[in-house]
Amino acid sequence: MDQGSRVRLNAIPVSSSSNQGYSVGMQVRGGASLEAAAPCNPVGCIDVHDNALSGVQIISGQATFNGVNVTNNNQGILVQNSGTLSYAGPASITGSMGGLGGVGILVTHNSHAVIFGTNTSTGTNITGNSGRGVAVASNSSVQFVGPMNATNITGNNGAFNIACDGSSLITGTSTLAATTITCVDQQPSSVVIP
Amino acid sequence: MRLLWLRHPLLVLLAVQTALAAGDVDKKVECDKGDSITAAAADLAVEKTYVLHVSGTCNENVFIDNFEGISLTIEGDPSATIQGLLNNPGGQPVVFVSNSRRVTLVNLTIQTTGGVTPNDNPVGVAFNLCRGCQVSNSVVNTSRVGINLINTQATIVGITINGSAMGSSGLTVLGDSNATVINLSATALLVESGCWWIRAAVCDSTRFL
Repeated sequence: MDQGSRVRLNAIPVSSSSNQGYSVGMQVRGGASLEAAAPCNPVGCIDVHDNALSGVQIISGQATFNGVNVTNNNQGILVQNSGTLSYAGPASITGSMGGLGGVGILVTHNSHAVIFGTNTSTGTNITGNSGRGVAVASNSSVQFVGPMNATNITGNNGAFNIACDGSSLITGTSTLAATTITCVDQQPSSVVIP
Repeated sequence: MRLLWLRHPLLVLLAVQTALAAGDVDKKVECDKGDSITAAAADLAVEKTYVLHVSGTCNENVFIDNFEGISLTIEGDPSATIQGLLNNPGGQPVVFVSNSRRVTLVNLTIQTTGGVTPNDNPVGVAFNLCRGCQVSNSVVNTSRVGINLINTQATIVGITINGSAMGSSGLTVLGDSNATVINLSATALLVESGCWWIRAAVCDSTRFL
């Protein structure tokens, strides 16, 4: 997707939507907007899997995912260059296999992601990736939204499941299930009022 | 009362005339007998609804330009294959709909010919400046791009796209397009040095980084 386009991607059971085997499964760029939603409960999800570079790349674009599994890609979701991502479960980002680069969600270069937890069905899971679960860098931010313990970011390789550089911020850490975090600038509250 | 009685047949007649003028026009396109979709879709009237019932294998690059009728449906009946052709100079999409409205492709298998050389089909289905257009219940087999939307408002429903070469793309949406996509299955096999790239564990991933 490019050049200000808008796409709504849906999956309606009993069939479903899937995207696999490409260099990049989905790419949203140049001011484009993607809304992808499916009744993922737990079947009928949209599946972006087994792509060689990234499952999803959001570069100067915006994407809203609800019920989108991103599994077994080299890297899960990349959000960069003023990209924005809204990711809500039930859904999972698992099995990214690109070594340290196999991050579940990498948010970088003035970008933002909001990750919504859910207690329904399989929950919101970022697990079993070869790199960080969530990595935040270069003036970027990630907001975790409850309910409590509904977002599970565990079992990712590396010392920490969530990592930031010094210029970046995460909020809503109190809503996460027990995990490991290395972020200098982190706030327990999802919305921080100065 | 008498005037009212007289009015009814007139109204009925008017309704029948309107229905005939705006009614469906069904055409058979039997590709195995040499028919062409492009020829059947040319010079259509603006006030009618057209349904092309396509059968067999159509060896052509379909081109529909400036259709401004009520609607045009190109339907595999019950199924049909459109096999693209090489074009010199410059490859063309297998199905190219340009500057048109309400064009629907349904029950079709659309196949590009060739790979990445200039005369090959670059796209399976291309909509350019198409309003209210749709592709549904179809399969696109491509070595380049499956479906390409440029400045288009379209719905993609129940589509399988099989990419068969390195660098192929399933669905590309460009230039102020607006698309609704339901049940899209896009699959590619990336080929690198004879190694079938299905899962990263199979091959050396560093070549793609």
